[in-house]
Amino acid sequence: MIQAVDLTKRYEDGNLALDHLNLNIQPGQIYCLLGANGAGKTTTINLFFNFIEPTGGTALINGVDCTKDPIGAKRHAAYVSENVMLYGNFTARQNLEFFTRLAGRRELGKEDYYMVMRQVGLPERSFENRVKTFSKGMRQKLGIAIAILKQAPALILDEPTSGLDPKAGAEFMELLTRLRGEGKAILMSTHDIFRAREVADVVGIMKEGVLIMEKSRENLMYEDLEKIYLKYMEV
Amino acid sequence: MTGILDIIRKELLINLLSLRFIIGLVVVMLLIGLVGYVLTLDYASRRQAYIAAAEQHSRALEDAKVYSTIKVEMDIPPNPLSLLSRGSKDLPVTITVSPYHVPTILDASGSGATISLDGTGDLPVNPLLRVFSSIDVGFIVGMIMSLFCILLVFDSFSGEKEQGTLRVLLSAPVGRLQLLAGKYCGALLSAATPLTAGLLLLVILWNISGLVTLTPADWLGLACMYAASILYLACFLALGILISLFAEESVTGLVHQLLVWVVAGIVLPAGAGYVAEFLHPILPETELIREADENYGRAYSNVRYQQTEGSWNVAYTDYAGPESFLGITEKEALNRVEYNKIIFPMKFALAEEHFHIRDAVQRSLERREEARNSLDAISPVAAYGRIVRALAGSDIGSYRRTFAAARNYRESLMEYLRPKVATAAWVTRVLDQPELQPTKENMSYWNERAKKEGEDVFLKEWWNWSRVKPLDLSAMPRPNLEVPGLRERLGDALFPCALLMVLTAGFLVMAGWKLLRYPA
Amino acid sequence: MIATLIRREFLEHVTSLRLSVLLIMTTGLLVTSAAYFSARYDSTTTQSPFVRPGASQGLVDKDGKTNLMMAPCTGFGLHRALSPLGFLAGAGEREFPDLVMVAPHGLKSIQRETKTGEAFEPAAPADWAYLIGVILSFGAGLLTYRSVSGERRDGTLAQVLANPVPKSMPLLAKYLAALLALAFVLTFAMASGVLTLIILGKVPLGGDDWMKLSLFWGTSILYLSFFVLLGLLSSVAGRSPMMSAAGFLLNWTLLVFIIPNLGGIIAGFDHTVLPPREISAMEQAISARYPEPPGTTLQQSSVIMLEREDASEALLIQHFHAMCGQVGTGERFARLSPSAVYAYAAEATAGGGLPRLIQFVDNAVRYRKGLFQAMLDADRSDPSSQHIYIPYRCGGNVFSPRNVDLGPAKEFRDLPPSSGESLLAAMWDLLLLGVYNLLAFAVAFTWFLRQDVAALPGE
Repeated sequence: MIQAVDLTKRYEDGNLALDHLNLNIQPGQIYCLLGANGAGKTTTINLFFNFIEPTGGTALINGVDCTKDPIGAKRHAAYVSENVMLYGNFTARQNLEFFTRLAGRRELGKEDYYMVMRQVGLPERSFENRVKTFSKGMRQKLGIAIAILKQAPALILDEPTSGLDPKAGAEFMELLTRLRGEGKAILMSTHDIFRAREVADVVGIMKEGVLIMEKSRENLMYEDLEKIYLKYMEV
Repeated sequence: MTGILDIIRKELLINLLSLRFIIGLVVVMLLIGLVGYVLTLDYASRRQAYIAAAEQHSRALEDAKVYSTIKVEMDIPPNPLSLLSRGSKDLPVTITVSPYHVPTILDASGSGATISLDGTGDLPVNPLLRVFSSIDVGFIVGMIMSLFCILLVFDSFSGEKEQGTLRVLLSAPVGRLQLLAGKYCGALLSAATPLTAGLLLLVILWNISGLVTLTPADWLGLACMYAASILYLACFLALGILISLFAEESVTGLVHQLLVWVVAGIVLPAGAGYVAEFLHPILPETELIREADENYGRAYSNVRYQQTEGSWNVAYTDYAGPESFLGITEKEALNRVEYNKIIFPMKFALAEEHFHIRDAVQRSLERREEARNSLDAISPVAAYGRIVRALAGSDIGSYRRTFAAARNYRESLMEYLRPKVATAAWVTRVLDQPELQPTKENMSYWNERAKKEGEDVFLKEWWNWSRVKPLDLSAMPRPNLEVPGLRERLGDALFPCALLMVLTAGFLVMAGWKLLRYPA
Repeated sequence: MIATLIRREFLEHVTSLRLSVLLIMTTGLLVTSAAYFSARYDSTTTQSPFVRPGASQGLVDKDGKTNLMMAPCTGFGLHRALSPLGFLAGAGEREFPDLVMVAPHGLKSIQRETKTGEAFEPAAPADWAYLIGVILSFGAGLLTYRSVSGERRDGTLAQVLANPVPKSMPLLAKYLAALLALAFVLTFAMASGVLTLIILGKVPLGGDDWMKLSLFWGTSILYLSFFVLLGLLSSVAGRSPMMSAAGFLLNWTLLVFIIPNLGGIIAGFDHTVLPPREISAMEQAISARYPEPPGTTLQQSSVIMLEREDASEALLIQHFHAMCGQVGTGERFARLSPSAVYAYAAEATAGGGLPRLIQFVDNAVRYRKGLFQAMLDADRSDPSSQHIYIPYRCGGNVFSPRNVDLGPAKEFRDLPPSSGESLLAAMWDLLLLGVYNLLAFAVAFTWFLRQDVAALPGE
């Protein structure tokens, strides 16, 4: 569903951010991308949404080339950023409505939006509040709500839990596992080794643009992910 | 104390090295240089025109042949400081004083607004160019440099807060007010730099070109203008810092300041102009004058009807110039004197009446001006404009004084002229030239010559006015136009100056108040 | 899709304080400006050279007959017809000559009637074109300066582009929404202003004027569109909203204040206009070319004089055209700025500006020739008349005492241009505005499309 083939990105300043990355994430799978700051995680995600252009290789979502047909590809993927920033002057519902309509779904009514917001665990009284009054956790939840309503088979998240308090983080992960149960392919970059270990079906570790390790949940079962991570980082 | 100096030095350095400062400096210098150059040429041409006109007008006076045509043209010397504030394009350059006209500022008509084939200047004049709004140093400081000030300080506190340096600054043993003073002085020094450099450039330009010579009073006026400009910049900087303290974010601070700038520089002055017009409409000058003229016309016809009943036909040529009165008899000339004694005092009275009407119109104009000034008093841009115009002598107050001086002169002139109405020399000199009277002998002599040389002889010789010697006007009061001196102009500038100071102080106090409660 | 984007942008504008401030400011100023114009219009509506007091007393009597004896030889005034739309863009009409002094045998001078207290009027011509040109162009920047740089910084741009929308779409939506918001302000303010005029009822607005008003509206939109694009461009180019704001401000100052104001100064470097002394020397040279030798009869002298007058008129018109050329130089330079282009287009729409001035003088010359021809004809039909010799000392009793019909020359026709003519006059400026728009559009969009959506790492 989410696929990268020899994906390479070299920035104009010569920095090789991503070097022949190969990924393949199946429906119903959560893939956690670990790595230090600047390892290339965000670059990878940016490439899937054509926020930047790759210098080599291809990124595919549901088989659609993200560079050649970015619009087609984006139809099948939803995006949750590290710090979901929405239009502060709009209410949660207005933001939700706006982004859902952008995603191409225009048939929904107020109740549908309320339902999804309930589903992601936003408190009822905040539905018609301006987003600029929201805490980060609430914004991330709203981000997930936007992603859910898009009904895309692929979900790509860029460090969605960084900066969340433990409770909010746990609730967020719970949401993700529920979405996995619905058969979505989920790519998530994160610093959070413990959460990754909890939910990930596959874990990849990146360093200086290269995917240096990829292990499935079964292989990780009895290993200490933190040790592995630190070991790889040292090399 | 050293703390403040350190802050000033840091602010100054940061400002001087910033891109916005360099852009501002270059733009202001370029503009002042270009505009100063062009206005210097303009001043030189006005000066030249003034000298030529003054010479021509004094010569015209020497040629006066009869008293009734005496008309004194008083030329207003151009003020070199008007380079900095040109004022309106239509400011009067000449004041006409005559027994039939009392000057008021309403006489102000476009100098050279007429396109015709006669003229004397050596520099090209194009009245059509007036369509371009005039830009002078006052405009550059008032509009462009105030923008520059905004750019200098819009982020003075919010920016440091965003960068996090404000906390570091405040953790040092420096009082908050000291910090404010330091920042303010640093910004003021930075803002003064382009202004000082620009004015220096201008003064050097004047010296090199030799087109402008300044008297000590002019230098003093220039210094006052410089000081006023600094005060104006200080006001804008204080306002800028104040807004920056209220802004949550540097950008919103910038936008709010720009809004204030647009309101102070454009919206308020334009709006005040409109409202003032409604509050104090200018009296309809032409209609009032026409009414007075009609009344006069009736009185005049009556008099003329009574006076001229069959007695002399010369009176019918009342509208013609004195040339017509060369070919009259002695008796006609003496009758004419009797007639003049009645008619001309009426004309003088009409002039007075016109003056009263115009004076009322002028006062309505001044009231409108005052209303406008009080309506946009809160705008520093308007206050600064008023100061500069007052110092440059291009405002309504300066001209009012100049015209009042011209009217004083007219009084003394009238004292001299009034008794002359009772002399034949008021309109004719034929009594001095017996050979020009149409006596029998003279007529036959001229007819003889006309037969030989053609009819033109009558025009070219008999009625030729140039054979008459000019009047002896040594006892006539000489025209001496006193333009308002620096002290009076300073007096006019005082109130807006005080206004600017109050505004600046107010902004600073508010900024201090806000800073003491400012969350770092 | 785009409708969704536009709706959001528009909502954002409409609910913002800036738009309300803009709306109030613009409406207030346009309304007062209109009321001001209306108050003054009343005293300046008379147009006919024959009706105006003091212009040409008694040339046409009550029956429409003319007593040529009264045809003034010193010249009488032909007044330019005032446009009832002077409030749109008055500078060209207020500052340019509005009076041509003509005598039957030649043009005497072209001048401007000064109005009471004019010398002390504020310098800024606060007509609609000026107010819109300054305030709403600034407003265009206010609405757009942070649209891209702000959204990029906040990350909402990425959030939008994670959806299946073409990359150019958000920018297009921003452009359209900002333009829509400005159009709303403009329309509301203009409608209020026009309503004020209608209520005050002193300015007669005819059918053609509505066309011109629409033309002005369209021109304004085209102009504002440029500044929206400039704001977007600054927003795309600036790394942060602050840089965008500063960039826009710099360009705005340059385009709205500095370049248009430099026009007059640049025109000063055009030396085609001769100094008055040289012009009067040329006129004297003309006089010398048509000498009157001794023994010339009155009739011969008059014929010579007419030739001389013809040459003088040609010189005057040449001099006038040189002046127009000089203004043209300044205007061409000023056209570097869309603000000046807009002002000229608005002037042409309102029936002012340089082309209108030239047309007015042409009309006056044509009228003068017609009048002169009518006099010749009158002479032929009345052997005792010598109207043709009017230049000769304008006195004596050689003129016909009969009333004659002047025919078409009776009335000086100088109408403000029709909406079609206005459109034609404004055409080049409109095209130029279009070109500026295209340019800004192309630069803004290519720049945006070439730019990465996400902030560069480390920013």
